Parts: sequence; structure tokens; C-alpha cells
Amino acid sequence: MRNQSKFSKFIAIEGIVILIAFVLMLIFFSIQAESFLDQDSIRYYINEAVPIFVITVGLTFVIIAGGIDLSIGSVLGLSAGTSLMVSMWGWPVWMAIIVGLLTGLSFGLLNAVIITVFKVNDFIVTLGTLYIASGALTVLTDNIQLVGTQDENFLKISDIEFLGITSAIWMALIIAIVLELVLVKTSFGRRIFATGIGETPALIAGISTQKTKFGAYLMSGGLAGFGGVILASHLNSVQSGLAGGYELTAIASAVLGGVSLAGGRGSVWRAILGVLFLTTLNQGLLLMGIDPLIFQIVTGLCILVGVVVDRGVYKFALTRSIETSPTVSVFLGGKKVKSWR
Amino acid sequence: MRDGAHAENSLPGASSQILKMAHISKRYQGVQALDNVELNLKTGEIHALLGGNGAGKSTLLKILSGLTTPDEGSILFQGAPVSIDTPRIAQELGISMIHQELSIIPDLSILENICLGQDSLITQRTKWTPWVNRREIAKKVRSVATEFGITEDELWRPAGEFGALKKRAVEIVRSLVVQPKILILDEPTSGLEEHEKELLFEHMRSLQRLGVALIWVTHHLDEVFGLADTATIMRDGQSVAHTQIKGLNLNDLISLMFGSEAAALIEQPGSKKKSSNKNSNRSKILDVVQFKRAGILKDISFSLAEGEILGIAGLAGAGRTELVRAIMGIDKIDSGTVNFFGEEKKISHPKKAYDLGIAMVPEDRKVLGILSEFSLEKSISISKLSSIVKSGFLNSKNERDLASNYIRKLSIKTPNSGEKIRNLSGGNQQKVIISRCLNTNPKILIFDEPTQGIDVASKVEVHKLIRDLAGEGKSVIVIASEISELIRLSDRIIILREGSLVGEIEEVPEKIELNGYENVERDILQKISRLKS
Repeated sequence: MRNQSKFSKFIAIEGIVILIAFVLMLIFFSIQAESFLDQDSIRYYINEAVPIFVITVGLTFVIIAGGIDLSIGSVLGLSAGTSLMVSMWGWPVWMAIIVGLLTGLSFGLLNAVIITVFKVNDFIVTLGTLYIASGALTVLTDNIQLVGTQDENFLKISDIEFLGITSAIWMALIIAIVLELVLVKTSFGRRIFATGIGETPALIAGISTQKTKFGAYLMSGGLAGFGGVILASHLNSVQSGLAGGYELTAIASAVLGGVSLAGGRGSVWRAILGVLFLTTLNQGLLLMGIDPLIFQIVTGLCILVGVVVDRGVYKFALTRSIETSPTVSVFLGGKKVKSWR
Repeated sequence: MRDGAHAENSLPGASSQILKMAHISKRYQGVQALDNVELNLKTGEIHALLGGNGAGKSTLLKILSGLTTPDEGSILFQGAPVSIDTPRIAQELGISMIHQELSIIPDLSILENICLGQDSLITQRTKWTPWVNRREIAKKVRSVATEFGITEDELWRPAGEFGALKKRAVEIVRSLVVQPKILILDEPTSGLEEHEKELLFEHMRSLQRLGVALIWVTHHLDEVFGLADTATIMRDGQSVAHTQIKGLNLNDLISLMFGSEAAALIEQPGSKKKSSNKNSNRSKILDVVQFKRAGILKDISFSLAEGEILGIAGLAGAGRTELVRAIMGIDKIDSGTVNFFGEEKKISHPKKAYDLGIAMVPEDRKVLGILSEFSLEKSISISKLSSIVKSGFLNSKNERDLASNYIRKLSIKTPNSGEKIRNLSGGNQQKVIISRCLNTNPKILIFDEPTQGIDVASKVEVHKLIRDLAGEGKSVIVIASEISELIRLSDRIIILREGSLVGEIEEVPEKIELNGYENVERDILQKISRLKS
């Protein structure tokens, strides 16, 4: 019954627009900037993007479940601080990792409890924990100079090369693949979508929406902790304000990838595409020798254009599918009677 | 076909032709939504626009109100050809529409709601002041408002305080501000109680007296008689009949809407097949004991037997929906217990209800029922995801098989099982939700207004389905505002009023026409609406 043209079918594939834009950008930059395709340069800037990459994946779960988590950036910063600190104390590397993860998880837990048990607005709650985490890092770095752990192993967390790719990137890839699988192929993932589409109808359908949201916030916190460990291992120095603003980049990436802030729509790979898009954009502009002062403006414009185009295409696809939805009647046939008396 | 038939249209006179839509066609991406449709309207008549879901009514109305343009065809407005390209043009011509969903903002006063979107009311200031003078505006709308039952005092109170009927009246008054020549009413009685409907019909007659031509879309065919003068009947994108209502009966309308084969399928109100075994010693399956919730439920107890269809009658706000929501664990209650197979159970969350074997098809399908972004497959599996899990993961083949199974069993009309549920028609959406419940293998099924907003043919199918389920030994609780529907379906009916259980009809007569259908209906009506003494 469906009579969509090939073009509208193609364009209706979720995420296709941003993917095309991404490919076009790659082509543009490789023509414009010679060193753009240089392996080391690629490896470098992707390595830099890993922490944002990791929190964007967690954030994607929260957003699809219909929530928002603003705390991830500063939680990532604080987790970097705590794990580097204990490593500097001489704790073994696995302890440092656990401390970093626990820092993230405890903030995730705090968010989850206040939002799902006390039913406070998620925006406010995570704004509060954003300040707490960021303040805690300031206090932490005010007492101790967080630079230079003696533990070689801690530095290796993010820096072991395997098949020419650093362990940080490997871990990010594994997280992305596993969590995409969780989102699409498990009951938990399905409940995340249902909760985001509509909490009340999902509840009536028998879904524990609060538990589902709880899980999403906890995961988001945990991934922020993990991102913090990688960042600390990568930089080997943590200062106040580290990773502040990462949450905004993560939100922008997710939205650019087509994860709907209204909930119920999106996927991990699309959010990742958003991250790659924004980081590649920055790198490309840098290599083209464009004044870094205008980077933010260009980034902002790209987000706006990307979202507007994506929304337009979604609407286009939507109206097509509604209008072409067949008007099946049970009782077809019957001659046309023009006038009946 | 394009000539002759409507020569009389051009005749001038007291009830002159105000609108003539001819040969209207509209294609959407290869689907013929409208095919050579005609609609003729005279001043001051009530014109019913009838047809099943997907017959093309809404597309036609969209064209008339400027939301979309036809591919072919002409529109004559008061004899002059017009092209209604935008809603603004429609408004300027004097074509207004009142939608099925209420467009009332509860926190604004009735007066402010009347002014909503009616800039002319606000900008026509008499004094040169920058503020809006509410008293001045109130003076202007007062007389019209009184005509539709809104007192002067009520103009200043928040709209949220009032019921659906008053809100409809507000919408009518609002539309009258621009002095419409044609007013389109899309399912205006939706959400109204039986007795309120009569009052709304009075309003419609007042509009008629004011010389407004009404186009009235309704699924409730019985309402049409005695109110509508003429009708256009649509089927599969064509206008299959233009007729006077006088001299027709319900069956004539149904066969016009769905074809004569369909009319045969749609049962007569008098015949019904009850769930077979009527003996009273069927085993009890559910006991609701002393449900209390401050201000909402007052000490309600009842029980449900195996294979029984229990109807719950009552007005909106009597606590019907609240009662079943409490059983499902959606709302908390102050006290009360549920015994399931004689064993006391705590149902604190809908999930527990489903696990026990109680499933619900909620009221207000679009808002509470469907998860709009989900495909049909996902919509069916969602209440019991374990049914499609294979070695720890959701298995798409299992999911598809599950869906195809229900598509076949309940004859759901859909292009494929991956279609988004929001693209299906109302009746099919309802069948998907029923499938979702059935997939949890329930012993008790609760239906809250199961046929709300679905067409006559689907309604019959849903009724049959409910009876079949009871026949298979499942117990059913049905809530319906339409009392005739309740009588037709139920084995037993309990009646709620203001949160209390006020009566019970133990034996609903088999042949409702013969054995005092009217008496039963009168009995229920009396009980549900009697004021507190």
C-alpha cells in the first residue's frame, strides 16, 4: 500500500542526514587541509574526544528515557581528580579506577534517587549536582597539586597501543557497541524508549518507569566516572574547572545526531556520530588555519543548521507516512453511488 | 456525472446555498485520499458528515478550513468561486471549526478563553489605552454567552472549574465572535455525558436559529436523527451519498457508510450473544474489598467471577476510572484490599497487576493507551518483553512472529508489523492495545471506554472480541459511558455515583429489546445521576 518514493524512503532513515553531512565535511576538509588525513592527527584528535564520547553515550540513555543530565561534565572532572589523587597517593591502578568509577556512580545514584524517589525536576537536580561536583573538584585541587602520578600503569590505562589504536579508543568503541546493543536488544533498552515516549502510558503498560530512569541516571554517572579515569590517565594532571562544559558538548552532540530531547527517539551510534561531527569540525577548522576565536560560532551554527534540517526531514518523513497510511476499509468494493435518495 | 444532479443548488431563497464543493480530489503520494467529492450546504442547516475512519472526512475538512489545498475541484462560497489556501482565508470567509479535542486552557478564565486567538475582540478598544479592557470585552460577549448557558459571573472564573459541556459552550461562543457562516463541529459530543449531549444539541439548534450552517462530524449515528437535516456520507475517499435525514433509519446509514455486506454484520441492538454459562456458582476470581480514597472512592466492594463480563456504570467523575486504576496499582488508595483467587495481594504497581494476570486497556487511547513512537510489533510486546527474549536478548524474529500472530487473530489492518502505531486507525490501535494485554496472558481484562472514538464497524469487532474473551473463560470489567453499550455487553452491572457503589443489576436481560431494555436503562440512568439527598 505504501507508495513512498525511493528518495523519501532513503531520507527517512534515521540519522542519514547527519551521516551525509559528516561525509561531505570529511571530503571538504581533506581537500582544504592537507594534513587532515594524516594518521597521527586523526589519532590525536579522536583520542582527545574519548571522554566526551563516553559521557555522550550515557547521556543518550538519559535523554531517550525523557530526562536530562547536566552534571556529567563536572562529575567527569571530579572523577578524574579523585582517581588521579589516589594514584598519586601510591594506590594501585585498579584501586584508582574503582575510586574514579565510584565517584561517578555515587553522583549518578544521587541524581537517580532525588529524581525518581523524591520526584524533583531532573534539570534542577542535575544542575545542583553539577555545582556540587565542580565545587568539590575546586576544593580538592586547592589543597593538593594534582599533577604527575608516579604510577606508570595509571598512565597506561588510556595509552596502550593495540593494532595502532590506543586503549582509550578501544574502550570507547567497546562501550559504544555494548551499550548500543543494550539499548536496542535488551528489555532495559526497550523500557528506556517506552519511558521516554510517555511515562504515563508506559506505566499503564506495566513498565517500572521510575526504575528505568533510575538505571539510566546511574549509568550516566558511572560512565562519567569512567570518562574521568581516562581523562586523568591521558592528561596526568587535573585542575579546577576541568571538563566543565563537557555536558553541553555532549548534549549538542546527541541532539545533532538526532536524539530527541523530548525523549523516545535516538540511538547510541547517532549520538556518537554527533560527537565525531563536532570534534572533526573543530580539528578541520584548526588545520585549515582558521582563527580559533570563531570556532564556537561555527560550532553553534552547525548545531542549529543540523537540528533544523534533521527536524525538517523527520517531519517530512512523518507527514509522508501519515498521509500514505492506507485508508483500508474492511468493506472494499461496492460501486460508486453518486447520489442516493 | 458532473452535470444535472444539483441544478437546484443555484436557486436563491430563504435557505440559500452557502457552500458548494464540487469534484474535489486530493492525492497524497499516490494514495487517493479524496476522489471527486461533493458537499453542498445551505444556510442554517445542520449537515452531518458521516463515514468510517479513513473515509476522507478529515481531509475534506482540512481543505475547507484552508489547512491543505485540493488537487482538483472547485469551491463556491455564497455562489462565488473561492480558493481557500490558508486558514486565514477560511476565517475571513466565515468558516470556523471546533475540533474534537477541547482547546480550552484551564488556568485562564472563561472570558480569556473566549478571547483566545480572537484578536479582533482584543484590539477593538474603545478607549485609547494600552491595556486590554476586560469589562468592555465582557459586555460585548455577554449576550452570546448567556445564550449558550454561560452566566456573567462564570465569565470570570477559571475554565478548569467547569465540565466538558461548559468548555464546549466556550468554544462555540469563541467561534461566534467572528460571526461564522459555516461552523464545523468535529465530534462535539466526545467527552460529554448522556444528559449533557442533549444540552449540546440544544446549543446546536440555537446556532441553527442564528443562521449558521453547521457541518457536523460524528461517529454516533443515533445522534444524527432528529437533529441533522441533511447528510453527506463518505466511503473510501468518495462521497457516496447526499441525502435528507428524514425518512432514514440507522441501518440505511450504516449500509451507506460501510456497504450493505457490512450492515449485515453489524448487529441489531436487540440481538446479543451473552457469554455462555450463566450459572451463578462460577468460581470467584477477584474480590475488591472496601476500597477507599479520600474524596474519590467511598468504601467500594465488589467481586468478579470467572468468565464474567462486569459492567461499571456511572458518570464521569463518579470514580469508575479511578476504581480500576486503583485495582491496577496505578493510583494509590488509602485503604482496601484485593483478593485474587481468594488470596490477598498487594498491587502497588501496574507491573504487579500484569504479573498476577490483570491487564488493562486504558481510556483515552491517544494519550494513555498508545506509545506513539513505537511500531506495532513493539507496542504488542512491551507489556511482556520476556515473551520475545531469546538467550538474554530481545529477538526480532520472535517479536515479528508474535505481532503477526495477533494481526491475524484480531484481524488488525496494517501494511506491515513495523508500521508505527500512531499511523493506524483508532479501531486498529485499540486492537493492538488489546493484543498487548492478551500477550501477558491475563485472567482478568479491564476495558475503560474501549470503543471511544472508533467507528461503528470497529466497535462491533471490539464488542465481539470482548465477548469471545469471556467465552474463553477470561473475566472482563468494562467501563462505558454509553449505557446501551454497557447493557449490550455485560452480564452484570454495578453502578457508581460520586465515588460510592449505589446499585447493581444482577441479571442483564438477554434480549434487551424484549425484556425491558428500557427499564434497565432507566434504572441505571436514575441511579447514576440522582443527586445527593
